[in-house]
Amino acid sequence: MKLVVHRCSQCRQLFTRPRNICSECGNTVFDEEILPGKGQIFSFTTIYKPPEGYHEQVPYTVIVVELTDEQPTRIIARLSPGKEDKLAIGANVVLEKVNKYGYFFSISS
Amino acid sequence: MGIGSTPFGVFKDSSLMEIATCACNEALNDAGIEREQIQAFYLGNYLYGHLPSQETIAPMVADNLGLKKEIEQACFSASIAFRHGWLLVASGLCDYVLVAGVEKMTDLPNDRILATIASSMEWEQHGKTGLTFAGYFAFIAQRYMHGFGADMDSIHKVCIKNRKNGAKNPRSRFRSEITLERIKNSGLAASPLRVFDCSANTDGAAAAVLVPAEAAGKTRNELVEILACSQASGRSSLWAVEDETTMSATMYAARAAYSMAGIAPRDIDVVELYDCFSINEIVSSEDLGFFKKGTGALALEQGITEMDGSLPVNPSGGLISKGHPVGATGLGQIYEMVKQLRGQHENQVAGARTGLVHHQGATSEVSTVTILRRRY
Repeated sequence: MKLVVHRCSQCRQLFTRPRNICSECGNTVFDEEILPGKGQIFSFTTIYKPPEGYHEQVPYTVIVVELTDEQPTRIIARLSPGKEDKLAIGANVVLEKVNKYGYFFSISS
Repeated sequence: MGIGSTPFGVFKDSSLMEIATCACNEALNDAGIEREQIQAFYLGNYLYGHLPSQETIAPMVADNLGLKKEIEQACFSASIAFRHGWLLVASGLCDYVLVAGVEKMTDLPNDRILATIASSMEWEQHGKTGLTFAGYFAFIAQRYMHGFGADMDSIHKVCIKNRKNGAKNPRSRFRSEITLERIKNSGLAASPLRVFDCSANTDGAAAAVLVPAEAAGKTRNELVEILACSQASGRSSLWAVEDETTMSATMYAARAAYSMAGIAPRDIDVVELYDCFSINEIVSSEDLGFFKKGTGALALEQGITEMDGSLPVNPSGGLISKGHPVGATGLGQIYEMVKQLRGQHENQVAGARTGLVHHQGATSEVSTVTILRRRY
């Protein structure tokens, strides 16, 4: 699945949500881009003690994904079930879906 | 000049107003001043606006205490309250300031507290995934182990040390030691952090009376002087920074504090730092300038931060043992450090003269560092 991002027209920094001002360089012009939605796991955790409203999902894994790009950008996302034995820093992931809980990536290798 | 504190624990029969008033009364009595002399009152609290939906509690506590009506008052969290009180005295605007922090949270459902605390995180990028604070610090623990070759056994040692220290502290919620085996067999909060790696939602209140050094009077021999009190901010998303195992707010606040006090990390005899989670003690001990990045876990293994080491950290038991009444913790830490430097602590570090207190806010966007020294 592709990932829509907003890139600063000046310093090329990526943002996953629309911005008014680039926090890196202060520029106010952004270009919308489509990324392939690939990245690597930068860190991960499986939640066993959830906040209110998330009990039914326990255990669920939240990951930090470093998106593959000229400006590697990290985002927080959820990990889709499957290939748990490959869950590690550096594992390749790909965007699978987006819902109210955010981006869901699955391990691709 | 004066300090007061309730024990930290679970207080089913006491209200927030009662425990706040208690701690404040003790501080006023310890200072030996009349309550009419208090010119400003800052009260720290975190949850009450969100959960029981009680706002503006400072005036209510002030009323209970019988403080003058026209004084300046505000609600913050405890360490910010402390710093604002210090600013008022240091600037010469006030001579007598009462600062306090209070939290009453054990009667609220745990998952609601987790959700409320998680709301300190940015929602769109972090919170809506169901990430908790334990999860945020679990990310850091994973990166720390990956980057520096540590393992969870060495990170768990923070809990073992602090529970052992807290067993001697009557103000600590938990008064028993724990073993590595018990920790490893216990439930996970957010892997790899276990429930024991997390500080517990707890009730408590603490207070202090601040005065200018000259106004304190020559007869009191228990004065502890604030040499520095600094506050700094870091990035709101840790994942936007290059070094994910460094809390930049802590680093900046510490540098400013050492500079203000005119001392270096080696001049510190004892530390009370913010072990909200076990991994944060290790990371903070580095960011406060005591150990090189990546060697904090090793320093703990070598016993440097134990009671008989060269730099005891959290002799009070820290947040891990005392518990974490969020809006009160900052002043709880000040209370413990003042007792240390007065030579009156139940877990006394021999000859402690200069101490450092470290506090953090949210996912470490804000940090305050205070350096205290015994005046006699």
